[in-house]
Amino acid sequence: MRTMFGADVEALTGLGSSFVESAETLETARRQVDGIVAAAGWVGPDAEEFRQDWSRRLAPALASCLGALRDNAEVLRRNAEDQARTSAADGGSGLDRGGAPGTGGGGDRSGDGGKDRPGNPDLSGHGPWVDVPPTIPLDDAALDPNMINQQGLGDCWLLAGLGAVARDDPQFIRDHMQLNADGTWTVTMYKDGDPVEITVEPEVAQDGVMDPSGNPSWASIYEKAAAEYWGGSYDDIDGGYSSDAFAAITGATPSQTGEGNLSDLKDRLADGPVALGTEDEPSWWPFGDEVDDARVVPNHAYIVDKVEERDGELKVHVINPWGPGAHLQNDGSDKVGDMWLTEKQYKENFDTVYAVPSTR
Amino acid sequence: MTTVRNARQGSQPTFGVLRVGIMRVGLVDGTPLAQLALRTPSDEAVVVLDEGDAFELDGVGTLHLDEIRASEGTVRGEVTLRFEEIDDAD
Repeated sequence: MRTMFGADVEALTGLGSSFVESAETLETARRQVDGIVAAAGWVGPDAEEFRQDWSRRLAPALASCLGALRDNAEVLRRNAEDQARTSAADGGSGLDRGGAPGTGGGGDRSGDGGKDRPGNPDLSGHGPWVDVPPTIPLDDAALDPNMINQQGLGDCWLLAGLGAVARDDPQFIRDHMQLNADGTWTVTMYKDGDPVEITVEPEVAQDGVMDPSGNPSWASIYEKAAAEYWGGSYDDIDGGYSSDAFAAITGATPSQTGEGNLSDLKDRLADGPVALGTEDEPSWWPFGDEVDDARVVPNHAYIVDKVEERDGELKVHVINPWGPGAHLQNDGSDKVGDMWLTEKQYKENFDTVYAVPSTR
Repeated sequence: MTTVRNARQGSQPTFGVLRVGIMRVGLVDGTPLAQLALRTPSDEAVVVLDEGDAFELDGVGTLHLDEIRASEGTVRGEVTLRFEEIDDAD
């Protein structure tokens, strides 16, 4: 019996369209109910309670559902495109590579990628090319996760994974990067636990990750290798999960769980690299007094640096792949690039823990 | 020099020494707004801007938020930024 791997492009495209139509139907219904609730000739405490329940619980829940439908429509669209591209290139071997919308939150990359490709990956508008200097520092200071400076690509998931691995075992990174005699770099990544060597030319996307001075770094080379690994375009690493980054970087089996508490997180960090994820927000009110909304980015990934007692309580230090800032905000608020969070702040802002066994 | 960039929420386009973290792009009571983390070597500020707003950074230049593309039910939108760098020769 033949076993098919891959997807029916037409079916995927049709399903994606259905998701979009359903989202639009739900949006229309939400607006209609919004209007009816506001205009209904009903006054009094019960009416007020009903209207508040609608605006604070039910409407946001509908909005969240809308967002999920649209996100998944995008996943289906990209899967269909990937399948069509793969089928055209391979004559129908049709391995489904999955896809990922947006930034940070991303999508399932199981089954994705895993091979070297000739030439440069497609810049996808993130160019031009910037030459990589003949030597790139790979000492522990250069591999510090604070040296990662994400730019215009939505690859926080990848950079958080890289930064967490580099923090845990910088020698692992050095052992997996080889400068060749012809000036190219060979990065050893993994597919289903097996090593895959990705060789890249010494030039990287100008809009890709750099060091804090704006120069290409080890992370720039890894990022380019990842773009080749995951499909041959910088767009292929736009959106994803740090668990997929961990698997591709280390070859080990990652885990993905809810946020838990800081004591759990401390234990996880002792066992190996850890990254955190935040999710989308169905609604946004930027003018309130919520303490941490001004610092933590939704749909984003962070590196876990430390969990330790400070000021009499357990706190976590997280690093944003955007890179640390040198200063507090000009209104005296804490920095955006790295922050210490209490357990309460941690639980309010993060919903996913990605971890992988240490490579040490 | 003027540079125009499109950027999605979660990314951090850079204009010379200015890093612009796109924190949130969404609709607030139907109005498209963007929350940006503006960081230079000397300053850091998180601001919320309307489409068409400009933000001046002393000694660096002026950032314009030319367009916001936002949807209901998410803060995962996109923006078009235009940065006018201060010309040192002036």
